[in-house]
Amino acid sequence: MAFIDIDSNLNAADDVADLLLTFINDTYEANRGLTVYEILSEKVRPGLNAEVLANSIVSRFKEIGLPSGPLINGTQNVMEAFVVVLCEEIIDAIQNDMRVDIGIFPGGTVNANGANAGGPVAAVGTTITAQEGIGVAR
Amino acid sequence: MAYVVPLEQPLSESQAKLIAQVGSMKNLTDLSFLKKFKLKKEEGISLFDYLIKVLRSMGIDPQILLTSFLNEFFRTDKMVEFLFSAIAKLAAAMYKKLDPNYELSFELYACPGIDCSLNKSMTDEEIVELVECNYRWLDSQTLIKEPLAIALTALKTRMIQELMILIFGKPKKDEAAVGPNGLVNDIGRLNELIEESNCGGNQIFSVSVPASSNYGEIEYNRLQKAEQTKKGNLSFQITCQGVQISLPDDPMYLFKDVPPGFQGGQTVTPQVAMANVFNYVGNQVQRKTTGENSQSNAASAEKSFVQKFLETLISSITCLVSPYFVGFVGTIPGEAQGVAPQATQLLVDDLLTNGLLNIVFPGSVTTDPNTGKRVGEFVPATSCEITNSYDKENLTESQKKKIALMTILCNLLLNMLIGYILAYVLEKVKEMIKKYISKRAQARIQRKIDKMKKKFETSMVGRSVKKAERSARQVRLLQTISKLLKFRKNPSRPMF
Repeated sequence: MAFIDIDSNLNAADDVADLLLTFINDTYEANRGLTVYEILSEKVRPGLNAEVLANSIVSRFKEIGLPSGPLINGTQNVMEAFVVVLCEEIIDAIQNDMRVDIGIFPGGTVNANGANAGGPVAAVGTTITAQEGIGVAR
Repeated sequence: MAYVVPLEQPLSESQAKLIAQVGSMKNLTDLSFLKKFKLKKEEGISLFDYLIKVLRSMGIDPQILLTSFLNEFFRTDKMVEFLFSAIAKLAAAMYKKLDPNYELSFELYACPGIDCSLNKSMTDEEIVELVECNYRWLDSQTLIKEPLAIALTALKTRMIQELMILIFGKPKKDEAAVGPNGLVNDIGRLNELIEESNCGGNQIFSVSVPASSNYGEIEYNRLQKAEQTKKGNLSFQITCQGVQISLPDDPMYLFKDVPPGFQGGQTVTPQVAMANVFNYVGNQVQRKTTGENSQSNAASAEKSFVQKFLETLISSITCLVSPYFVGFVGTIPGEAQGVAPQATQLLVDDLLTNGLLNIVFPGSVTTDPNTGKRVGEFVPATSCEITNSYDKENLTESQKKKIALMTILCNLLLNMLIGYILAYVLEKVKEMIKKYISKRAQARIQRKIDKMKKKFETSMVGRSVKKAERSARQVRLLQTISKLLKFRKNPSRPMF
């Protein structure tokens, strides 16, 4: 062990690592929320499909140097099989087990039309309680 | 012997599921990222080693950066800054304010002479303020700064020469060691360097957090180093192969602008001298390790030599710069004589004879009439004195003062090195992140475009292409059977 110690201020490997990590983590931006119109316009989405997902993952194997299709000696490519099983299970879990709970803030505008003995009635107001809803991921 | 039928114990679906789940849970609990390590700062990797690791992981060769730092450090203005910073810190450690006119923001204990306790407590901010005040004063003293810069310009290459002795030991020929054509100009200095080479180095200050080593190992290493120094060899371990290199018979050609075997010539700059030395080591390793790998061996030796050179510079910096602090014992090297106009030369001579400590703190260094060595409260102890008689855990007040300058110099130089590397790493990491983000975004957009294209082809284009193909086929078929249709349409009409 050396006789003279390194100054404690210079023993900052941990702090430097944390600083560099903050630079890297800063680059991961959270997804911004969608507006109601953007959400409505996404109605055309086809929904998740395990086969399509597995196909698109397998088609990118070559980017990372993984073989696709049967291996040279004719054996089954277990990596492909694994991806298929993985996608099937994940999509199955999302479509059958996942649930989407929806909470709606009070204050939503309400326009109502109706009628009574006096004739048609139109009402405009806002919701005063928070609402809940259920969604199903497809 | 009866034939043993292997037992077949098929599991039901729920039994197999439980085994699989329990197994995966066990694996999960064994995963290393779930274990939190709590390391003490002084037990973990040193910042220097960590930065080297980061650089390597980024695909940057640290040798380039270390060489660049060495070139920067041996610039005269940087060396003046380094020595002044050390004096400013030492004065702060003595609770001394060098600038009498500067008003500090806090009450400084009036310290008589330099005999002050080092145990008085000051806040970190107060220490910084005092050090800055001292540094500014030193920097404004032209009568100290100018002669110091002149002396360093003339003598800094000599530091590289002395580093050669610290690394390789004494050259084989006496005239190559001491004398006008030797690495040092007097025998006293040679002995000091050999002593430093045997007792100093990693035993005194290490840029790495040391692995736990017991006293026996330290003693063994010291004996091995002494043996190596005596033989004048430097041992390298390259791909499990030991290579021994020694200094050339006439090492001065590495420091002069003359070819080997010639006398005289002008002293080259430290930057050129270092490049010559690194090339020499690479060439020697290439010569000694013949075969296909000799070139890569040379490159790898050069890399490890640059790091060794730098580590020796840091751990032995006190020995290398001590003449500037306490004055040159014996004769002043020839390179520093007659380098300035007479009035300034007198100041240069005074500085080199008495040293910075005596000029800044008059009377702090004297010469022992019996040994001829410099003595004084803050005159650094030699490495052998420290390793032989100092107990790190029980230092006396006087011993603390004797290692104060050494502690300041080693840490200051390491600080400069870390600052240099860290600035580069931060810049490169930011650059890399920028590149990474744009590349990822590019790839993401490209993937999106590809997917949309595919979707379009399969849905829209596919549908219209299929429709077109179908129509074409229908036309073709219709043409073939048109006659039949004509016939069926109007059966009463003759066929021909």
